[in-house]
Amino acid sequence: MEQAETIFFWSTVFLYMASFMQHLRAFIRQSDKGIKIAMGMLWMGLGANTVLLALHWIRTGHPPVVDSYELQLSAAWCTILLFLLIEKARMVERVLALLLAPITFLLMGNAYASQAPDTPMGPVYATPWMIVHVTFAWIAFANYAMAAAGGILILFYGTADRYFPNRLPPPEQLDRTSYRLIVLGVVNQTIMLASGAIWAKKAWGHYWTWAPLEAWSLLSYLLYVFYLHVRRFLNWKMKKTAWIAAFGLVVLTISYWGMKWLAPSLHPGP
Amino acid sequence: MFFDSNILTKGLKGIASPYLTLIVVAFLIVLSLIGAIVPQQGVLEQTSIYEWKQQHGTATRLLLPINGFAIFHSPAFLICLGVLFLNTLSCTLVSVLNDGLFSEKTLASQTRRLGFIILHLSILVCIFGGFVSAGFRMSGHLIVTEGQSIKDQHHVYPKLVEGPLRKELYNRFSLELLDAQIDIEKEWFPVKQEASVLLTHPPSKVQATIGFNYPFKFNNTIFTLREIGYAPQIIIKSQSRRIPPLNTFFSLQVWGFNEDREHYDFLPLPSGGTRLVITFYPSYEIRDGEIIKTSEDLNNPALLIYEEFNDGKQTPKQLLPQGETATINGLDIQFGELRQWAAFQVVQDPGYIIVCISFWFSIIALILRYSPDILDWIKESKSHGTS
Repeated sequence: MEQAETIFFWSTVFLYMASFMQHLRAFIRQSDKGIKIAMGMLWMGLGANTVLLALHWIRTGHPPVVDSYELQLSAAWCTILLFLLIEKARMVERVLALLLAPITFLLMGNAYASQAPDTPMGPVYATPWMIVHVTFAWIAFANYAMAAAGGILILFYGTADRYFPNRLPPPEQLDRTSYRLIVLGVVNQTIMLASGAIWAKKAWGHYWTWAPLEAWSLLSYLLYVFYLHVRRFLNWKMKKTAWIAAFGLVVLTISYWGMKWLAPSLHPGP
Repeated sequence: MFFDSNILTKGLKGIASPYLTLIVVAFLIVLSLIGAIVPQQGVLEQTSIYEWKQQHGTATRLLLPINGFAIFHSPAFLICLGVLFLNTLSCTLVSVLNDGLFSEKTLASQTRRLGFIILHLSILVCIFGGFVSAGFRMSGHLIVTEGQSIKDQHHVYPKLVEGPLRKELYNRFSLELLDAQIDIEKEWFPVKQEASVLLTHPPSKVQATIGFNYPFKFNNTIFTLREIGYAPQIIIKSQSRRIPPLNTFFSLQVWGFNEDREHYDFLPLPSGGTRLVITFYPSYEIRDGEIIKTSEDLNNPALLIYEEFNDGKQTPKQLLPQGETATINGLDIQFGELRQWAAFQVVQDPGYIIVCISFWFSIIALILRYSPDILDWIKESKSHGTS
């Protein structure tokens, strides 16, 4: 079983990487057919990622949300799944995949680096709130990551358009998509925070302890609330809000992955 | 328009300004950033904060005037929350009084508006709940050894922290730990932890089992299990040193998780000015003269002990299997029984239910507020798509 997992791990990495390379090639050559092939490869990568998670789940006997390795794999899976689903519904631009790919590589690389002997599920995790909390955390992350990708494309739109004209969708369209993804992210993050608070109350007696990870989580939430307000009341759009969306991903990265280096916490991070 | 140009109206509109919201949220972001980077009191051990202060002298000088090491309880943070509360309240009031509840023409606009109002009301309720928690909460971390009650441990009650607005000083309950159970899987990983307790608050008396994620509520007080560890019986008799005899179940702290779990602590010796450093091994073997922990299962429990002096000097380490006696620097130290201890978080928090309600309403409100936008997005994608 472990050997099968290794095969599917590297298949996932290879397919995501191949999809990225193919997408980049098709983007430069302005080939719609090439982009379709890249999307197909991304679907295959997602399939391999799904099998990998399923095998790991069967072997360990618990959902892959306990240790750092499992959390990275789930994060990569959730990000790509959500992107492909809403891209299939033609709600986001395919070009976002070009920027989601490096994020996914980082997740898979981090997963590889944090491989450790299997950890049984500790008693704190034995609650349905864990599934709710972690699932919505990853959905929120996936939404914000896509929004940040949109934001980064807006920021470099001029340069990209000069070298590769007519490849990117209009910046207004990217801006609208980015905003909508942040709205979805805020809704999901609210559910994540609420379920986390209920779980924390049951596990530790307090719904909020101002632990570093909680403080960072609040910080990212406030940042996106700020985004929604400046857009609504100051009519900030395009580059101004794109900066916030891109910066939001930095804050999220610290709150999801940086905490274990910054400060010890009761809250186990990914 | 309901409001005309009088001072009250202008004041209300000023407080309701969205620009004020932006300023307050920006301030909250800055303060949260400080709280997320700088170690906070109550979250980390005092020693960690002390070390951080030693390493960052300039930052410490800047942070101390704004209470940067307890930023989430600082006047600046509380003022920000207070202003946000007033801002949200007046914004909702102005909106409702000016435009009514359902003045919008389309269903989508009405849904957005309803969402907006419920969302802002739920923010008010959430902040209010937070203040209720901070003001009226009672919370404490109690450690009890099997067969003992918190009444046997005189130092327990001062660990209960009271909110400044509580009238009752503390709930004089009694908690006796009957049994603590910890199941180890794959030799290293604690997978199930449960404590059987007897709770008394005259005239009520109840026996309960408290597990991780399964707190027990008794007389409006929530008892949550936080940790289980070992408490070896340490019997000390002095041969030549003027130290009174000691016979105690010493609760060893648990450090780390899973395979990194370690059980050790420092026992100050009465009138000796020195301390015994005690490490507990549930199972061990000797490899190349070194004691190695082999699992968390209780196969051959033993203590590794040494005495540490104020100048940092140490006596040689001695291995002490259960039931045996070792002599260290004129002290006969016996490892008698082995019991377990359990740590409980004991909490009364009237603000929790308020915050919980606000959470659920805010989720509903967000869905109402943004569902028309999401529906527009779906419709747009069906008509011409984005890719």
